[in-house]
Amino acid sequence: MIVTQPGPLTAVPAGGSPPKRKTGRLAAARRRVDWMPYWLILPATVSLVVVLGYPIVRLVELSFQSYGLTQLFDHTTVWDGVTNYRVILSSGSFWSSVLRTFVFTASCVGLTMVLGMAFAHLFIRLGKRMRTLLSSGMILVWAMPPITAVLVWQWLFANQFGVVDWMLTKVGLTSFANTDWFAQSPFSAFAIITLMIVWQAVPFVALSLYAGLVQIPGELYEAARVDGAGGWRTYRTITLPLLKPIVLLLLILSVIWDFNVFTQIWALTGGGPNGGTQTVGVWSYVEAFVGQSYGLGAAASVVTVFIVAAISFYYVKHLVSTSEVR
Amino acid sequence: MTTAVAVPPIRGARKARSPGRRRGSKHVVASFAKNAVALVALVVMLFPVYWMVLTAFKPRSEIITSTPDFSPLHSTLAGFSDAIHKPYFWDYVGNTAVVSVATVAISLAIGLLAALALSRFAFRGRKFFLVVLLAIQAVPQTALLIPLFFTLQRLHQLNELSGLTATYVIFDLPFAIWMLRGFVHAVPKEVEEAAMVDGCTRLGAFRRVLLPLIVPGMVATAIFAFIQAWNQYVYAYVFMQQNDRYTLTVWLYSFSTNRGTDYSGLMAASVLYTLPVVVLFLLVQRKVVSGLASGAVKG
Amino acid sequence: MKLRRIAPLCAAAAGVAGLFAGTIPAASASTSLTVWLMTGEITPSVYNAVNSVFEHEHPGVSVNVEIQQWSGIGTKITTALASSSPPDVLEIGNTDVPEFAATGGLVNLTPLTSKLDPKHNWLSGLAVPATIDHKIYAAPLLAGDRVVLYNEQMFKTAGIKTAPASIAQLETDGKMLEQKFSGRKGFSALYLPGQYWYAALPMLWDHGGNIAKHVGGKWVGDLSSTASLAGLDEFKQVQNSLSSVASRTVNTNLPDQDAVFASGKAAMIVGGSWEVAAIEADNKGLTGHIGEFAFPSYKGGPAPVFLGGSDIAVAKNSPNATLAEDWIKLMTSNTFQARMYKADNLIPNNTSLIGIGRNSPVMKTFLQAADHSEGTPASPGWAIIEGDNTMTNLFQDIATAGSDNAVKAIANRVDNHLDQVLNEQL
Repeated sequence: MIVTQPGPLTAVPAGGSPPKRKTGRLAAARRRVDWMPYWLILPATVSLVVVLGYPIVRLVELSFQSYGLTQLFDHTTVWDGVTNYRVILSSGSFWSSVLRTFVFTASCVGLTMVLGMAFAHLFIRLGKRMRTLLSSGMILVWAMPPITAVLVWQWLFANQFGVVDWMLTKVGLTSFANTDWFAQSPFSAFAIITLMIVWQAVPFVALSLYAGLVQIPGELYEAARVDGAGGWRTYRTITLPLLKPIVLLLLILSVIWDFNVFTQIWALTGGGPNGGTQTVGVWSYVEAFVGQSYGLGAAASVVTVFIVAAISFYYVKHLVSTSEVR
Repeated sequence: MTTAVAVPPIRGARKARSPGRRRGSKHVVASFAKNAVALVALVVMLFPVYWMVLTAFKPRSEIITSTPDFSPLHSTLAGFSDAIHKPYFWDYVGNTAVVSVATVAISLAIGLLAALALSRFAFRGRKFFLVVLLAIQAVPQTALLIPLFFTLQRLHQLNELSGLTATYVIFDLPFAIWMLRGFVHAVPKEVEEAAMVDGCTRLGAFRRVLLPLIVPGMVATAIFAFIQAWNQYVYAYVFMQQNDRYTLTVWLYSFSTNRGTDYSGLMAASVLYTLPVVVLFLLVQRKVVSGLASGAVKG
Repeated sequence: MKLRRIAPLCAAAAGVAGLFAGTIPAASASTSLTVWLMTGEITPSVYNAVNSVFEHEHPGVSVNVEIQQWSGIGTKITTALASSSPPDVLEIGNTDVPEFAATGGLVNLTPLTSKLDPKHNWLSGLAVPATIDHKIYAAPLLAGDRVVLYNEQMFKTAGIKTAPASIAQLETDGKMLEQKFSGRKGFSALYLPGQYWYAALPMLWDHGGNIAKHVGGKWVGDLSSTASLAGLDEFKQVQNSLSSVASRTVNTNLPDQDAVFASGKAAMIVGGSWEVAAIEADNKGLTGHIGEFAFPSYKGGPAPVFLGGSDIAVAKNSPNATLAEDWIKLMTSNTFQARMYKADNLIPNNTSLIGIGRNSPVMKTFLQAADHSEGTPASPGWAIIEGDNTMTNLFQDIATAGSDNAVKAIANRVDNHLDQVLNEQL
């Protein structure tokens, strides 16, 4: 059964089309609600509401409470108004951590996307065996548990007995030998952390972009070739525009994830040296979660969501409006 | 523009269809260069993984040395033996397998349905739904732990694999929906409608036309969901209450005690831990490629 | 082709079915007492013995011991104590105990102390953190401390006849070792990582200093007092002169200090009894050649040790509080404490059992040192101080400080932080 849908009519080949109502009854057809999409999103909505509904509401509630272990064990509630928000928003260290996080996120996401694109294009051009080899290697990297990855990177960059230290000495860069990469300066520490995050994030981006590239119909390339378009022009007019939605999607997801990175930074530097690598995730942990101040932690989470929402505002607006053009 | 596409066009399938294509010297050089680049990339990316595997085979005394050993002097399987003989190991394997597979299956199923709704239909509340999903992703998991704990307690799902799965699913769902929506969106509606013109039902069009095209995207989403579930520690440790109900991550963390870390055990455990993911990927990948190729040949 | 579609669906169905297998409740005929113990400490031979006595005394009750991992244990205990069905008995680290004792998650065990500790000789390093406002919320369970482990062969080669009994002697011996073994790259006479605050605190306490003092109901950071500064300066002096430069910014895990010792890159380390076995496993040639002596005081004799360890408590929401208390009575009794020591080399919870190891060449020193121990401030805010790396940063900063004035500035800075955090209501 073919369902007529309200909304902008799509251009379909003259040969066959879903039966169009006559103009007079078109308005009536448009007013008829199609229940199909609602049925389709029902499972997702129900799951999210049942499991996540209460926690999200509770999180927002907590952000207005002074809630720690005492309240948790005694089941008491202490309303605090906007104190938590005031503490966070007036904290100098919070804003410096936000700034640091912006820079850190930008560099991680930038590098990840560039490398991911490069690998995706490499994948397309490789033979099947080489592609399987390389993609399996990527899966290995992606699947490496964080606890192990952190440990291995610590060993590689240990200032004594580390492989990188040894390599630099061998190559002759002895001035760099015995550097305490993690403790000597925030810059070197962030550099290593960024490298590690990017290293583990590239596989997913590369494979997703590859999936996107593979979806582009070969006929389009044929047609372009027949029309005499060169490589770069084809890339600009066909590949990039068709890849753009997925690139933007991966970009926004990466921004959200990298903004909230905590585990690796905490394990590698503890936010040091002297708070030099303290991102928003680390700040929230040190100020709220380490002392089990769940009210403050909740407020920090809400503020983080707002900041991330602000960053992604234009993206969402663009995305949602372009999909309405269809 | 008439795009009567019933064939999922894949680069790889293309090459498979013309094996006899003449290769000039220019092709040989280009092919060599590509493979060389791929190999270099592989070596660089895999170096930390190699270090993990290397350490898994080293006896304790060789792990920290002043000159790095790039191959073990006395390779030993002691680390691996320690790893497997930890208590409840096989229980954990079973639990993790069940939870991970269920999480992926459920996330993909629910996510795909929602993705279809969001990209193929225009309905009221669509924008809101998308924005809410994105906002949920921005909430740090640490902040949700205690409220989720109490939610599960109320639903009597603490210490139950189903409760843990439900938690993992809702962490994955926003991401899965956004991803799958993106991939479905990339396939023009005309493609399915053309198939329906040719006599397919809506479901048939979905199965025969849309699904094969978005399979690579589904694979990427599935692997992501799998790895998320596979690597989750705190939630598994806190929500499960009995020793035989934990997942493999708890086993992985058991090599670190307050008295220090059993490095070779941990590395050996990590090697064992990452293998299933790679095996699964290879299995799925082969199916995906063969499925696509057979679709291509069908024409 | 149909099979390809079905297979994943079957897997999913099997997965879903597997989930619900666990939700069918088992019929229980008797009461079950749940006990949480930490991994790597009390072994089954000990707690099974406790359980059989307990079950004999309480027919119809079975004891279920669940072993817990250290990583994430704070969160695990928090959620457990807040839940409606917590474990009945739980082991809590002595530095974590104040946080839970002060916030109402544990049962007040003060009425039991006359039975549990009639002679009042519980180790203070374990008892004080569990005591809030003169009420005790957990019973001391087990302890561990750290003494100096030394390479007997290296000492002999360097001509050192007896273990140093004072800081001055330690430094002299250290210099002799440095001279003898300076050829080894990165050699430390005493490998003392800068972040290793467990080993640094004895020097602080030795001079009469303290991390913080409880004055008039408030916690006040005490690191910048004269006594404390003397201790901090001693730490800097010892660390900088006897330990390698690279060790200033690391802790004992990376590189593993046991591996450093085992590979001959250090003649001495400060370690726990379990590290002796670890070193011997790394380097069989050292078996039987590792000596121990208590970290010396500047006045001569042993300095106070930092006592690590655990207490054992009853959850407030437990429906079996009386049974739980009975189990604790057994586990903390001298009979089972002695058994625990013999089986697991864990230091028992009271001073009357210190003599139990007099015949063990290795454990003797550890037990004697425990006689004179001190603990960290019994404030619930201490969990924050440990969690936010204040202690590791403090000593690392001191080890890398350029001058004595710098040390004073660091002490002042940390005191301010302590003033604020130790008085927080959790």
